[in-house]
Amino acid sequence: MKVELSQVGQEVANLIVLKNVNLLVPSGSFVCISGGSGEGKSLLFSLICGVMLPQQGNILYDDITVSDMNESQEMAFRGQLGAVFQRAALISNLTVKENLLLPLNLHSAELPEDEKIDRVESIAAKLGLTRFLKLRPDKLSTGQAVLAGLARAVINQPKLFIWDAPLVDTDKQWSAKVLETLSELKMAGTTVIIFTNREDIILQLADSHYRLTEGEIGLAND
Amino acid sequence: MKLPSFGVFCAQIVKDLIYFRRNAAISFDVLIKQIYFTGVEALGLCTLLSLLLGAVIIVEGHQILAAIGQTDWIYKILIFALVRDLGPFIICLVVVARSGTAISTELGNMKVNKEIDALVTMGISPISYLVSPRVVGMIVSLLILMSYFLMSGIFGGFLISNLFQNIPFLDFFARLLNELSLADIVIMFFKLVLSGFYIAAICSYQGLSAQTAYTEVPQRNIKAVGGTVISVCLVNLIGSLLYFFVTGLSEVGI
Repeated sequence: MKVELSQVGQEVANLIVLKNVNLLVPSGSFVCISGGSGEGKSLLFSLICGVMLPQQGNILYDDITVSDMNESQEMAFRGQLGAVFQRAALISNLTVKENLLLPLNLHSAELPEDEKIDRVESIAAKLGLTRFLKLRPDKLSTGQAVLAGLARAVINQPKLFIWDAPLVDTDKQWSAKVLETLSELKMAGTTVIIFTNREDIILQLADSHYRLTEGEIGLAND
Repeated sequence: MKLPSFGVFCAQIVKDLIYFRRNAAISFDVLIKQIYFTGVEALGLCTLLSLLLGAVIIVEGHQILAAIGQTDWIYKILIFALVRDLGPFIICLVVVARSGTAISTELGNMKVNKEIDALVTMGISPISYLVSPRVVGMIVSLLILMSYFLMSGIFGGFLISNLFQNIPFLDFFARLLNELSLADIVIMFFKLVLSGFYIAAICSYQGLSAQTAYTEVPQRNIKAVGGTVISVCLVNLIGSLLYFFVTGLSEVGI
């Protein structure tokens, strides 16, 4: 899925956080966006996820904005989108297993129940979450919760994958699992956008690296 | 997620309720949990309250009515208090205090934790998934609680009335039924259904209005309780006015 940001600007509490952000992420590419704390990475993440619409400019997904999509187009877009929030944002009154089943029940409802369970167990095994499937998010460590968020985002084999601040709360062993999952997404032709401060690790996978500085985005000088 | 005005929010809930089956695959569990938490776990408290209320009405009513020689009016008063006015009002207040605050706290925390944003990203409408099942659950729970409230209130009234006059339960129950009209039941349903809708809608709206700080959640709770108490009072007032309008007209033959 191609993502194009054109002249995107956003204010928060009368403070300009993003200004004239132009970015083209070709389909199947892996982009890393870095920036210091408070530079607007999480805000840009929310905008690209379609949680909020930009105050200025447009964000196009395969040449169409969310506001121009009809109901079925938007549902199809959401089904192809996998997003991991900074603090995982697992649904707190559901178990990890139920959290992973949520996107499947919505976007792959036609799958037999057995196949849905197989998918959940397979991704959980891969990320070392099998023991935690019956637990609720409040019983998980921050790192485990982030991995569960990653599992939920990739379970529907997304065409666009976005992650806000990966590897912040994961140890070395889990970082390897995360990188393995990301490289699999890249191999599968998924468009990947990563917002991070840990560009040292992510850059080994990235096709291009952008930096957010004082609300403006530009190619980083690596 | 940008929240619309409360009027638009309510319209979206009503629209969603019409298409409830479309979201049944993901919303049904939320509905069952809401009914269990509101309608089943509050049974003990409501039963105790109604037993006491039934008993108090008989004790107070009997003293006053005996003084004017109209003890048979006690059944009329019991119907007025349990079925038409105090019963629905007390049940609603119990539910506001217990479940209304739980709804606004839960949704407020979910909003601050970005869980609502995660739902939107997945293509799940927070209204379909979180609010509509709570509205339906709240209404069903109020009806369940009210039926228990009536049963135990009548039983409490019967126990205490035996202190004043020895009357068989079936006789007591038959006299009570004799005073019950269709209008009483319709108004009771009107009050419960409308109050249930507003309790769940206002508490959900206030919860979802929280932004980024956990300190906003208790502030939203306070607004939710204030708003729901006012709306429950207004619904009860409108219901009572409707009752007196309808029965008043029928009494003069219109």
